[in-house]
Amino acid sequence: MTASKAASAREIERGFLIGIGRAVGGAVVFSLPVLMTMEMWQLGATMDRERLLVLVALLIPLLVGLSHFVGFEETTSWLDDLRDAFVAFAIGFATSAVTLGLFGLIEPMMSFDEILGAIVIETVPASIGAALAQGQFGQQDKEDRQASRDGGYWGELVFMTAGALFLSFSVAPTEEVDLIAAEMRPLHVIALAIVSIAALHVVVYSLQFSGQEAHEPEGAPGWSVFARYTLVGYSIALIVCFVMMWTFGRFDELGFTAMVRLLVVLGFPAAIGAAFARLIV
Amino acid sequence: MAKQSDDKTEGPPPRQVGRLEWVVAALGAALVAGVFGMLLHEALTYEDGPPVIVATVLDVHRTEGGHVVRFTAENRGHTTAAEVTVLGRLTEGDRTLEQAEITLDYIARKSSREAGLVFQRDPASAKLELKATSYRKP
Repeated sequence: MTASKAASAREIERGFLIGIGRAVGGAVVFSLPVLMTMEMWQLGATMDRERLLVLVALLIPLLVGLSHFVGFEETTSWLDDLRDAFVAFAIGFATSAVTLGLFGLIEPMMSFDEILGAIVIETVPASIGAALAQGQFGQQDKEDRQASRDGGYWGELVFMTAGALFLSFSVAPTEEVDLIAAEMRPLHVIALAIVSIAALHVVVYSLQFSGQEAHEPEGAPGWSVFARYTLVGYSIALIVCFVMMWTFGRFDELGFTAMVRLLVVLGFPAAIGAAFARLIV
Repeated sequence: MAKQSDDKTEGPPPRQVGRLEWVVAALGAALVAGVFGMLLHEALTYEDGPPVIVATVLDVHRTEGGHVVRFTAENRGHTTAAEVTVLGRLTEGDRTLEQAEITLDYIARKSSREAGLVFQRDPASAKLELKATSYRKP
């Protein structure tokens, strides 16, 4: 190896370390509200293991998708995305383990299974945060940044999923969601669903006009945006909520209508998260 | 090096991946596999059954606020218990001299929690009994 090659190799490693620092920052930002929520650690300890497994199994493809669309190189192969996803998972896992340890929430009195559960559940938001921050690995100029933000329609949906998850994940484990859902009358539920959709549409529509959605052909009719972004976005928000609440075991003792109510309540932050995905993400 | 600067004029240069990044990625892959393995193992070995909560006294301290009895409540069962109430009683024969109660948020399966009860009387002068009296499914 020549001296210059060695030097550039060192440069690459240095760039990666800086990227790791950034990813840890992203992980902390995304997971702190959840890391400091008691219901969340409790969930990690008590959740059905099969469902936790499902949650992790769904997390990996989401991380791969995020790495793909946030990644600043458009030509990356799926292997690269998979590598980035694993890096994000490792960083998310390490960040939540260290933070929980710092908080004194990992004690020798706890069983391994309880500790692992708590770390794994916190890894979900943490690794998403890491993946998003990781998209800015290495140096990049403005042009790269532009490219990374323009992931096309599918990229948009992946962002929406991440945004929905981001805002609703910290609310989902709390009891307040149940309480709100219980307080609501049918009319409230319908109104909240309409408001969620309207808010989502307003944000999506205004972002389109501010030129952030460069890939969208100029002057696409309003109904098309509504159908392809707003309705699909709201569906994504509800699906995210459904998967989350099911894995958390929150539907277990509920009837169908109570379930729908809960979904709509949680769907509100999820829809807002999906709408602002571009700004958050 | 020359090739890199050429690329720069055309578009973003292909990102170079260092060895360290692969190492971290491998670590991540191992973690994912490990987590999957552990969760799968737990899911497969899961047994349904009631939580088994055993409270054991650790020590008794005489303080200004009374006699503090520190104890651990261990859940030896396979399921987690929430809102576990532990009742401590000082008895003399059939007579209950004093009792104190505490509610623990939750005790995960095969885990334990430390807590304390405060008595005005010295527990050494009577019989101290600790037992879990109720729990809720989380």
